[in-house]
Amino acid sequence: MKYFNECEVVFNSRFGSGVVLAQNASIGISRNIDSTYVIGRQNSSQVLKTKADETNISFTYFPNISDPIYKCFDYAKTGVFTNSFPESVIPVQVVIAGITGSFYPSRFGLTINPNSKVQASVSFSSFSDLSGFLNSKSAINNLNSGSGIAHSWNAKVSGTATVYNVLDFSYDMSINWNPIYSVGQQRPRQVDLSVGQETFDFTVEDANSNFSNAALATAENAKINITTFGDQSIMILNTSGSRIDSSDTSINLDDFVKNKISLKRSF
Amino acid sequence: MNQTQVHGVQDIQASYQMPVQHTKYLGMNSSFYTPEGPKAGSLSITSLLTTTNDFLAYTGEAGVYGFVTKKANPSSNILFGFQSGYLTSYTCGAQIGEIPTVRANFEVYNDAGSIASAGSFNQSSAVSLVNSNTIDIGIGDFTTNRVNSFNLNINANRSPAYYLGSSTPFSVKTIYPLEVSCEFNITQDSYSLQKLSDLSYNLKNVSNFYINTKDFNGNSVNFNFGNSLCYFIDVSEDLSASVNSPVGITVRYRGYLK
Repeated sequence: MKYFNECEVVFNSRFGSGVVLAQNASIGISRNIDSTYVIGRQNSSQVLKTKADETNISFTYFPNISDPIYKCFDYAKTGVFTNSFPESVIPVQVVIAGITGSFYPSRFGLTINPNSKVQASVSFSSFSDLSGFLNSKSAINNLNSGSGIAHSWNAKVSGTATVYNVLDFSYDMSINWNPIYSVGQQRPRQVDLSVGQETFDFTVEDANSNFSNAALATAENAKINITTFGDQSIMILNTSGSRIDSSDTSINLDDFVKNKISLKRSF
Repeated sequence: MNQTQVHGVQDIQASYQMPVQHTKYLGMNSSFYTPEGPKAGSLSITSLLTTTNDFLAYTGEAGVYGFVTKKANPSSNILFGFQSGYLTSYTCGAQIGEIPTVRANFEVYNDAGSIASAGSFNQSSAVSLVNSNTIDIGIGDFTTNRVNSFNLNINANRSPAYYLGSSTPFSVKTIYPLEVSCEFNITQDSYSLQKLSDLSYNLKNVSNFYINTKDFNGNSVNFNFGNSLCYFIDVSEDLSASVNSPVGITVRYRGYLK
């Protein structure tokens, strides 16, 4: 039996490597089997695979200085996958409690609330076999201070969006990967990035009654720069090229009128 | 406070808290602390009620700053200072034979502790203490000067709001309405108790509530709410009678400031 402090999450990539400040982690392996039936028979005749094996891992964590995980997702937006496969930078290696594999980044979510640590949740997909077994960590993990951790006090919203006073912010990026199989092969010969989408949600004080072009342009240029307590960069989220998708104004007792502006961008 | 000297202070409790949280993670050998939650300070002052009634004016939307100093010049003698303090409760209590006291609680949303002063303060000397032997209470058509004690409380809950990138609020709003409650004990004279069967949804709403006091020089120090109270209702009454003492009635009202 393993206790949580014996099980570490380690991220290994060209974007950076190290122990992740994970709050939880999960590994899900799907064999994608289903029963088949024929007319006239009461029981299933066979159990067959309907799709290739797929492994998904997910964890929530506190982004730290030079967060390599966000860099990995940010890199996926560059579009190199359509031009030069196989890509040498992605997939990345992730180790969860001794179980490891090669993973493609599939979802990155980030939430910033006032007076709180920034928390991210990520998912990765793998189309190849995992290796290893449940094992204790290999190193002693001591962090002397939390000065490198991402915190809302150090999340600066800049650009023309400063006209809005941002009360909280969330970000979500999802990437669909398309594994391509050859006849007779259980593992894909290549994995292509098919589509990706980002959503930026700003909660602000001001409500814009009609989304004019000017308001749209303002929202496009927002930049969220998250630094450490020592002012070193952790990540920069830039909304350039995004479009306003929706706006929801809410009024609650004992609270400000709040407007949630949602921006979307695809790649 | 706000560069005006507060007189009659009996007790001060000042503090600030840095809300740190033990941050754990998978595979840790030792964790670390990170800030989680707003920075907050608090100040609690008990003073004798004087003619200036210093704290009652702070129930509004504006914050105050202040300093506890050793001497007249706060710039070099600060024991504790605070910025953006908001009154959250005001209580004035009095009983026969004692100087009425005031307890004011503040929440501090900006800096607190050993901070720089905002200059010298105005020393005012023309204040005097309130005499508890001259208290009148009026509620609606009823008035009495046979007041044994009273306790008046005003609560002002505050809601700070923060932008990302800042540890201090950009705004502190008052959560309305402000609740006013008053409990007073009087010698039974012409006061008529309510009936329990009257306690229903249409409780008797009274107006023109006031407590009038005087200092030892005969100057008035009044709590006069006039018509500013909304739905001021009699929520409970006690009657007490014992040998060798007059019949006493304790009445509790509760309402809201408009």
